[in-house]
Amino acid sequence: MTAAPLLSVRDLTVSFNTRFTAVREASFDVHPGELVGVVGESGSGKSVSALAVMGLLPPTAKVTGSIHFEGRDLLTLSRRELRKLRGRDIGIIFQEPMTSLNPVFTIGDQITEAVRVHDPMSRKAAWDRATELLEKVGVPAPRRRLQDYPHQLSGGLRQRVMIAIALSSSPKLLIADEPTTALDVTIQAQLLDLLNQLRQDFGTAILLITHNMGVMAEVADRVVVMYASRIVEEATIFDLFDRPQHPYTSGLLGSTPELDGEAHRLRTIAGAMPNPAELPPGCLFAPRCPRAIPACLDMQPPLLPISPAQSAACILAPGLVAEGAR
Amino acid sequence: MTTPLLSVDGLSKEFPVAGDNWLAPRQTLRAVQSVSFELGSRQTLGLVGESGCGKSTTGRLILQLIEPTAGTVRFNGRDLATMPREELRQLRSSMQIIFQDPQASLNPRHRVEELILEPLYAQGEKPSAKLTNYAGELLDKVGLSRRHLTRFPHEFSGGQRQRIGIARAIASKPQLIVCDEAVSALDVSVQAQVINLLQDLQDELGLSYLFIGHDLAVVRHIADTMAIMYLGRIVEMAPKREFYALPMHPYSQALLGSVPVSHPSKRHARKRLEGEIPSPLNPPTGCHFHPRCRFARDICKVQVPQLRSVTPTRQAACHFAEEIAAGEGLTTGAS
Ligand SMILES: Nc1ncnc2c1ncn2[C@@H]1O[C@H](COP(=O)(O)OP(=O)(O)OP(=O)(O)O)[C@@H](O)[C@H]1O
Ligand SMILES: Nc1ncnc2c1ncn2[C@@H]1O[C@H](COP(=O)(O)OP(=O)(O)OP(=O)(O)O)[C@@H](O)[C@H]1O
Ligand code: SF4
Ligand code: SF4
Ligand SMILES: [Mg+2]
Ligand SMILES: [Mg+2]
Repeated sequence: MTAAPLLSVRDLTVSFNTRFTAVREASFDVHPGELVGVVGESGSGKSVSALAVMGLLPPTAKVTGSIHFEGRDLLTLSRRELRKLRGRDIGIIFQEPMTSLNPVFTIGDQITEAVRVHDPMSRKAAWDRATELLEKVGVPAPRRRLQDYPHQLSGGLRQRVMIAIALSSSPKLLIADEPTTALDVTIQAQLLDLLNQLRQDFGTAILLITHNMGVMAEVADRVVVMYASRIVEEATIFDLFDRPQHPYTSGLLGSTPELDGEAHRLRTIAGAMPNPAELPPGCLFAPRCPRAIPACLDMQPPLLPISPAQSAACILAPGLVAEGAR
Repeated sequence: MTTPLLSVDGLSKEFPVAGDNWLAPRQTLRAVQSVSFELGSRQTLGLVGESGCGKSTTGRLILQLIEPTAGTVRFNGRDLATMPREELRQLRSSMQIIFQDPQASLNPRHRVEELILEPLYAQGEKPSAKLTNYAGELLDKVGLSRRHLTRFPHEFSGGQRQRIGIARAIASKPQLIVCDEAVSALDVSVQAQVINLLQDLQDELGLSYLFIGHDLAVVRHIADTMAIMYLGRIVEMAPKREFYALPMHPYSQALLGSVPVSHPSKRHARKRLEGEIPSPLNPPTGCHFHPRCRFARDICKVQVPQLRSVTPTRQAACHFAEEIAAGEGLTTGAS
């Protein structure tokens, strides 16, 4: 991709105290209109990375590295500037919409408020805009729905309302953290279609966090794989599925239940992800890695390119072997 | 003909629920409606459907944790409702349950040994060196080790806690285990470990599972027979292989069509199921699925389709099952 990235994260490291680092040296880009997925096990640092980009980490978090959005380093902005950017250029959707919606106000109140923050207009005009937004995200009978309180809506409809609010300012980047995880599959499928459609209609770039490889296969252009605080692989969606380079990625693909072919015994990755406070020496994946060799315990392999479109953090990845031989 | 291990006939459960406000009359929520099926020894029935369709209620009814409004549950041919109290208590140890959230089902103040042996204590057994040894064996079986016996639940990861839940479930040597979303909350890599463990234990101990889930891809790896539920009713039942090759009921088709693809090359504009699941308090008339069904005709709005045999091996609750199947190229023997 030649155009300048919309979002460019470099060496992002987030620690919560001296002993505990949730994200280490994470670097990735999101280009305009692109859907980049972040996949990985529970606790691998996906949400913390996203919160860092959104400037929503608690003050106790120590953040280093850089996060450039349209050329500006978000880590140097004031809280006020960040808040402005967040509502306008970066939209956010979380897993549980109920926690982000205020239970005592109607859906209409909450969408019109979001609309008027960025674009002062009459109440009437804001109400029309809210109706339009709900329609856009596929809420049936939108005008009537605006009168409802959040608890009167199903989980799927609440998530659509959250997307409508996130879209109210026509953001350039939408960050969605497990937006469909709590929903039924039929509703999940509808929402994934909606995300795809938004991308086509408005060119919105999307950073989508999920632990579900199938969701990635449905919508992602490119995927970042995280394991125990580190990015271990980054690839286009086709390379990731056809030529995974990191043993963890292969393991993840092998243990994902599928609908095709004979129902075979699932492949597994032995053991569990290490507790982030007690990381093993060398490669973080070594204790579970079926291909580990003694050299793996010496140092954590850095994330290095294998091809222009794929990187991996494994000493056995082909490009990296060559690198070592040089 | 041999008696199936579990035989459920016309099982129904109604819950009285408060009205929308204090003036509104009480309403009846029909959580499970006339559910019937059989489960043989060493077999797994996959019970799948979206949230609120009645899966957990069905499981709890079978285990006699709640009382049915109508219908019978037979275990080894014996009707549980008419069984003497003491006998039922004994029989309870033959039926166990594993829940979705091991965190919530394991008492945080108890050590692993107590947790695992609890079903045996409930039957009147007393702590002994022999039982401690047995608890250690159970831990070995589920891929943990006896040095974990003295630990507390919070010292384990989610996957390990689920293994403890499994160890407890097999402690009383049951014949049937209801797995209620037992792997749904686990990370994929750990989920695969637990699915494989459940399969190994089935082979080794001759267990039968009622495997409740909402992910058709997961259930495919463990079930022998599939039952699909929608708003309290079973809408389709079929041997696993036949079901996945071609689901018959329009709802099953939509459900299968919603599962994320396994490879990016399989992305395509699919026909999505539109609309939301209706409220179980006020379900649509006739066929519950008719407002969302692309095959619906007038009769669907007024007449409830019964679950009936469409082929010798398959059942569906749809007025037009034969026609729809023929449209998909499946011969049912119907003209
Ligand atoms: N505010 C915080 N203070 C201390 N530790 C935190 C905080 N937020 C997250 N963590 C820790 O950071 C690590 C990474 O968490 P994160 O939420 O990013 O995981 P995740 O990949 O999003 O997992 P999941 O799939 O479960 O959402 C975890 O060990 C988590 O407990
Ligand atoms: N004790 C109860 N009182 C009133 N209603 C109940 C009770 N238990 C369950 N229900 C209702 O019965 C219906 C079926 O619930 P059930 O828990 O069996 O669904 P489920 O298929 O297991 O859903 P999920 O996938 O969300 O676990 C739901 O509408 C639920 O709200
Ligand atoms: S560096 Fe070694 S241990 Fe780490 S993923 Fe590669 S082969 Fe496995
Ligand atoms: S009975 Fe009618 S509405 Fe119900 S599934 Fe069959 S065709 Fe659709
Ligand atoms: Mg998270
Ligand atoms: Mg349930």
